[in-house]
Amino acid sequence: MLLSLMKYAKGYVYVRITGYAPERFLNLCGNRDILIWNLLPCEDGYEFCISVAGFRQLKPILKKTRTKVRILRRVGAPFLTFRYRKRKLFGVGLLFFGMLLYYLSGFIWNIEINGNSYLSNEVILDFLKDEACTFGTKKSDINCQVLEEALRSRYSEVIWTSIKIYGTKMTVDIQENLLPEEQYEKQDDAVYDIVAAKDGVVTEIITRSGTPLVTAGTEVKKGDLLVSGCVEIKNDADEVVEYLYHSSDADIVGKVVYPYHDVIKKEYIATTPTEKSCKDYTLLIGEITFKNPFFHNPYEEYRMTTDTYQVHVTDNFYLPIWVTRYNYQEVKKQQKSHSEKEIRQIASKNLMNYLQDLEEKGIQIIGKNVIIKRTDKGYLASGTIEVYESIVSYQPTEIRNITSEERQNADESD
Amino acid sequence: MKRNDSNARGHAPTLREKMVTNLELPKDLMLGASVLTVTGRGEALISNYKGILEYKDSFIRVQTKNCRIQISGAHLVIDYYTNEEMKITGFIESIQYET
Repeated sequence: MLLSLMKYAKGYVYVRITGYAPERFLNLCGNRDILIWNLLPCEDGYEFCISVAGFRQLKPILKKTRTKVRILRRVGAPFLTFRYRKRKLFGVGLLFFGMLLYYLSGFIWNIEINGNSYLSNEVILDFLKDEACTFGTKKSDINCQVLEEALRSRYSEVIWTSIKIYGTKMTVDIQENLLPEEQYEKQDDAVYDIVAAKDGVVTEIITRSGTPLVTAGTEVKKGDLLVSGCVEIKNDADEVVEYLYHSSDADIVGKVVYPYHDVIKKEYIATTPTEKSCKDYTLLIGEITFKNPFFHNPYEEYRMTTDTYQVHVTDNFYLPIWVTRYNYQEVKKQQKSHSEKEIRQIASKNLMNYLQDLEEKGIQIIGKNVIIKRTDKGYLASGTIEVYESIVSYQPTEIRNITSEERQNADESD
Repeated sequence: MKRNDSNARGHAPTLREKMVTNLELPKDLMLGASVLTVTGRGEALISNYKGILEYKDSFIRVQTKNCRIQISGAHLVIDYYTNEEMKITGFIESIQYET
């Protein structure tokens, strides 16, 4: 490969020799250390390749052996440059292209982000932008170690990072701490009570820490204290000696009643799409919008949907160019009214969706009582839904005044 | 030529040959013996030869110091040809030593 490249760079000729004793010619070439390759016999002689320098030395041998040489083909860079000697600008362009390629290879053109699940790619790309290490940054301006440290200190959930630059691609590998630490942090320093999040009746209470103030069956209002973070220490005479503070922790399930209200109008406007539709495209480059000047919307009533596509070079190198496609779908509007049966269907469908939403939040539904009534304009579905759900909500404990001496004593007794 | 004949047929070696053998000197250098390296069936490398006698598509005859080597086959091509060695590629059917 390398040898053939060198041969090409130096230039060679493909020649045919004919004459009385072509073998003698070959042997003489060998004797004089003239390299011959791709030697092939032909009708009345031989064909072979010989370097330009070798060809220049052939003259005495040709004379001696009385053979004739004929150049069949010229191959190589010197012949090519001679042939295109008038196309100097082409050469300059080629050189310029090569230099441009070399220059541009000194920049970051692709960023790959691996291992992120909590932080999105956009967040990390924004971070890189803030650190001036985004697309089009000179590679020599980026200090990977400093960048890694900045990423770790900016986002506490990132516990390990590795930023590599290979070619024109920057690879950001990160490892996130996926354990939720916010809740632990919240309860660490301050003391909290548990209060009712909603009105209802307590059905189940399991207290792990704190003083329970309610029992199963107690009716509570929103904001009522359920478990206190304050523990009273009493003496033999049943007098409060001191208070100990400890964040309360409990599972409290209450029976909560949700009101349900749904209005369905009898009259409605039905939009039915016709078979006619058309498309329009616009191009947004930076801040400038290019609209299609030949397009006008032919429909009086229509439904329009848009799809926007941002042009990107690599997976996440987005250019400030957007292509938007507008789909115009012609529609017909008609005044219609629901039948009784349809209304019942719609009402039960709405109710089912509502219940499904509640269940998805982990709420247990124990009963529903919804009635559909006819009104002058339509129908009204109203009623109540009874559910079991956690009514735990945290609130800072009110610290009651005790002297510091007493407190110290209490600490010691601990 | 007579002496060459006797050598080729393995008759009593000459003093020079004995010396080279006993001193373990390289024979290709001391006696001008040609070295023929055949790789598989498609490639032969000959060194230490004097010249080409005949070259056709189906056979190549090479003159060495002591004998002639004829390589027969099909589509034989000399890849390169220098004073020291030459490389033949193609389909080799037989290699013959002629005296």
